[in-house]
Amino acid sequence: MSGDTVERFDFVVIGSGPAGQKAAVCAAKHGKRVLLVEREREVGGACVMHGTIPSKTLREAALNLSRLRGVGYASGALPERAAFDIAAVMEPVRHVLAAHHHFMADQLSRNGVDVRHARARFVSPTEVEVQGISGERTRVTAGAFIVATGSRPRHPDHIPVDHDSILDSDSILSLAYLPESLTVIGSGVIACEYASIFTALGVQVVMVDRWPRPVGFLDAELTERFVKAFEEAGGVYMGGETVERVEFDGVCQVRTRIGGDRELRTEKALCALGRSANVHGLGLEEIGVALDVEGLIPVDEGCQTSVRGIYAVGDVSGFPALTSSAMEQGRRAVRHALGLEVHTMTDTIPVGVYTIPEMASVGLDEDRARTKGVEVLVGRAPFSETARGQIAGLQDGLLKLVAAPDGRVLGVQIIGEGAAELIHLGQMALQYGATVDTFVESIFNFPTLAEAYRIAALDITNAM
Amino acid sequence: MAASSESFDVTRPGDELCLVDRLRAYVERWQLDLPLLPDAPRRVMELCDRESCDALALTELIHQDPAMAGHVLRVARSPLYATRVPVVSLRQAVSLLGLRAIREIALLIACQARVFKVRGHEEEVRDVFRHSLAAAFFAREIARLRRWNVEEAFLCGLLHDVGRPLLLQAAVDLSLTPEPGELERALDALHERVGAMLADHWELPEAVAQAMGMHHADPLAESTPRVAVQTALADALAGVALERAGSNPLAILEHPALERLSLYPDDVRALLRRSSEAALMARSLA
Repeated sequence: MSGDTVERFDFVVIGSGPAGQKAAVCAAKHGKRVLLVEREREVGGACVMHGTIPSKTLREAALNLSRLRGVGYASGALPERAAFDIAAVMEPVRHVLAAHHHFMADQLSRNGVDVRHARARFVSPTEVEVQGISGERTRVTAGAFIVATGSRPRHPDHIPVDHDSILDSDSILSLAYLPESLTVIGSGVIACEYASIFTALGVQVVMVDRWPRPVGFLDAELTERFVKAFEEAGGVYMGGETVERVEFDGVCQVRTRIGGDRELRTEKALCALGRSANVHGLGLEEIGVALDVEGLIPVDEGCQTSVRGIYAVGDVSGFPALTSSAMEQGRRAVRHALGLEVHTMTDTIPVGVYTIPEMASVGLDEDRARTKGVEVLVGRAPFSETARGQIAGLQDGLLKLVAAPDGRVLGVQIIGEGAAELIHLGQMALQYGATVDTFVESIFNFPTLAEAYRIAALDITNAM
Repeated sequence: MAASSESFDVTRPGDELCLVDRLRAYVERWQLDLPLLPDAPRRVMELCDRESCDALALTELIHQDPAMAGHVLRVARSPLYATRVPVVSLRQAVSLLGLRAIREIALLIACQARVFKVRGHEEEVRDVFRHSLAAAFFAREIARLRRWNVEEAFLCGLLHDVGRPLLLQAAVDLSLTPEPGELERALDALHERVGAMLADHWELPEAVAQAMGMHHADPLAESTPRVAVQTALADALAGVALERAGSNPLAILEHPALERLSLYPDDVRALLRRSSEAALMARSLA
């Protein structure tokens, strides 16, 4: 198609990750003509396709290995690190990704969304230029544009990521063998997930960052337990350190220089210092869309950017950068563009951190309550007090229930296997304004980890 | 297509088989003499792969093989590693090149000694070797661009055409006298199959075996592994870098692998800009 051709759509969605896909389907369901532009051949979002799904597959393998160790198998019966075939473990990922792509593509097709394997660049606030793989260009105008281009691993200037010895959270997933040792630079969600996964796989891992404790936005008691479990499994957490320089020594080791002339030497290093918004090449600034200092696109309640008719959803607009909230933002942007009512974004979106052990949180935690000067009651239920926890050997698990003095549930924090699933019971309690009595009076299956809710609720009622 | 290999003695001249069919039958009957991985390079590669990589032990091992020692020094002194300090010792060369490059050199020597050496076809084999090195360079850069495994990509590029010299050797062993262009057609038709057999024989990683056996498969077919598609593009880029007959930089922009790998014209242009670097590497190492 020539560059002179101009096509007209109601919506143009750029990016097919969870946010873009939901936006496109939502607009199509309202009878609108929708073009979805995706730079990759597969739909589904690069972050999900090349990050979330492969990393969770690797985690599952690591978890199975640590479970076997946990139930007392002789170490000789388990694969050694060197014999662990990471490529074989990752093989099923190809099938999972293909199935995910087909499912997403079918859904878009069923809803009449026009999907193009191409890149888009704004030439004006009402027009984009769409460039295909062979370089062919088409002009497209639309009533609304939804930018859902996601994010990619951030590479600070002082860390020369080469995807060979110094990796990022994408390239680490294509490792052909397990390294002997790994320095993880960073202490956020991604850093902690990979640090704990590779530790469980038998790699000597040291996680280093400037923050005294990892995953700072989570309850301190949870992260303290995480660090304890991580170090008991063989990892080392070095908080409060400044990474000054990282370099490959040219022979076989990555040297990570930290304060005081100290140096960490490991076979590989992983740079996990957050993610950057994929805004490069979109031409946003040229048409007046404001970006913040971190390169993110600030949006209002309706997910609209500083330019009317241009929306930004998902990772590209920053916090909370969760798949679940991204999908909601996609729908929200479409409703706003169509002039439909936009409900207040719920503040009860749970957070799941797929470390080993898993962590999850919803609502207010003890630390934030104290910071805000809110008086709260906290109930604790170690998993070891539940029969299921004993059976499954989940001695480190803990559920914390945070309630107002009148018993209203304000938040739940969990560490331990199944935390990301278990948290949803707390989310429901929050959404429906339940009190701790709801848990005390409820009869749960036996034996289950859900019993921990009842134990924590009783802990609170005993203190009331 | 090919007549049944059971009904002909492929080694006997005069049978009514075209060259491709004769070689195919030879290959399928496992009469092809697949080379073993030579001992010294194999031990060097094993040491490089070991958990505790000791540069000193590696240097000592290389010392035991004069051909390899010479090659390591030659590469360290080549324009590819242009250094202001003269390289005077093997230890210094090992330190300069790094463990990964040493591993690659060991593999190159293995290939040169046992694979890329066919009497009467020296020039053709050298061309294949140079082309493989340039393809390895581009495979690594494609992987880096897409944040995929760069170590594996290099190996895929290096070994993707290894079936060609093996088939040339087979043609020599069979005393075949091909018509003009006939041998080239036979190599085109069969080198992937032979590459896959060698990958199996050398117990190479699955991804490398896929690249060796499928780099001419349809890049857009889902059954073609991504690593084979990546190698196919590297193969085409190497052709351009070494100015192989029929290679055209503009044609690269329409290569079907681009769609599968989601590489856009500016990505391809960035890769093409590295052509002289790839050619330098190929000429320095081969």
